Amino acid sequence: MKLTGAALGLSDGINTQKPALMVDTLEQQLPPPPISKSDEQFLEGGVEFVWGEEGLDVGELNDLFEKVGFPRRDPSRLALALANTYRTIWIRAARKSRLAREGQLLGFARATSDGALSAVIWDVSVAPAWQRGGLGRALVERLTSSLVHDGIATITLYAEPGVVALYEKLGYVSDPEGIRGVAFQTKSAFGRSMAAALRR
Amino acid sequence: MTVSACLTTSSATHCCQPCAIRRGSASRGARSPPRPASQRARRGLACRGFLSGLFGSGGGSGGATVAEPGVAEDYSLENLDEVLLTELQAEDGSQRYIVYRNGGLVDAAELEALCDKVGWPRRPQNKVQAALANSFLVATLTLEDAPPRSSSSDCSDGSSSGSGSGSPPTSSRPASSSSGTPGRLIGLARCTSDGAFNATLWDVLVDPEFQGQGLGKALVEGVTRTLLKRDITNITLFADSAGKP
Repeated sequence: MKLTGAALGLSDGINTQKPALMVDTLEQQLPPPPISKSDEQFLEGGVEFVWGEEGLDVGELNDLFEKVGFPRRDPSRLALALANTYRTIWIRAARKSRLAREGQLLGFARATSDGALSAVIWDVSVAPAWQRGGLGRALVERLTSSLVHDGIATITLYAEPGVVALYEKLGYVSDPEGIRGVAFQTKSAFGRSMAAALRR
Repeated sequence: MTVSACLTTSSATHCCQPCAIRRGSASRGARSPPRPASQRARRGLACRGFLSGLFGSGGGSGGATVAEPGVAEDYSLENLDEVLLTELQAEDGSQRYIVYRNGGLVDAAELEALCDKVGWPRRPQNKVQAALANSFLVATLTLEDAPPRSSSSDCSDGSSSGSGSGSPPTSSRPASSSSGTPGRLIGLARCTSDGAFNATLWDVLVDPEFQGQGLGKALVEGVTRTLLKRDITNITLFADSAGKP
């Protein structure tokens, strides 16, 4: 899918230092990424995946965002964003443990989409105490698979430089054919501003 | 193609008479009710800001004052949903109007033809239709026979600029002039969004016949402003290296 962007000349400043990664599953008939560790295995480890926003507490989500260094959001706007999100997946503690109470939110990811041609994954986060256990990868594997399964042609996401490698392991590609992600920067600019469109 | 440049924004609450827009002068709708000066001034600024690129270069007039870099912070007075961008003269001497519109109707077949024209690979029609229906915002550029119904020329900043002489040839098809019919699709931009924080622009395209005059820029600017107006501030898109100004 060829893209023409016309972001030139927006005078408020465009950060162009962002590798763009796109996946064209339509043309290439790419299969979904293999699930490296199953739901059962994770359940044994005390975590379970949940689809959809039902049962998700916005305050808890904000706490998670804060823990990983994302900005806290206005709760009603966050609820609005979730309502308009195409797919949501999160991780819940299956049982009480030293690190979490039962049902506690441990990880999160969501994707906006037009349901057919494109999807963008946002807000991938795992509570610091639960990182380095494959949860982030598991979230993105599942979310990506689900989007590919829906037949969505192009899947993209924006990643901090330190995690680009994670996504590349899942088949995402930086800067395919010189495509770059750019983002509009306003005075009320946000913290996360590295854009890596990922090509799967 | 040279165009006569006069800029108006439409206001749904205002002026039902189509405005006669003439090159080289800023005419006002004859029956516009008077506006408070501050409102006029702000609309002027908004007009200039909205398409500061469209007339700031290429038109050659040099007379149009360009707004300060950076966008006008107050979008509340602008109606961004339907904007007359420019007016031009067809071969037969009749006037055509290029209109930017948020949420305009898009005929899938017409869009496919336009995508072909810009050289994009074909995409399944059903997917394109679904994508359009599920996009947060679809903005179109259309070539029309009549100015937008609710246009009013309240941009008293003299932003109209005459450039060049002679009528540009346009291959305008014999479009019906009934006000309900949309004109010929010559540009489009769409975006997906969560309606609160993030938006991503896709599929920005302009008919090659009309490229090179800032219409792509106007599309992106229009969508961006519409999003900002709704407090959606993380606006992203993907550009290839061949992205032309």
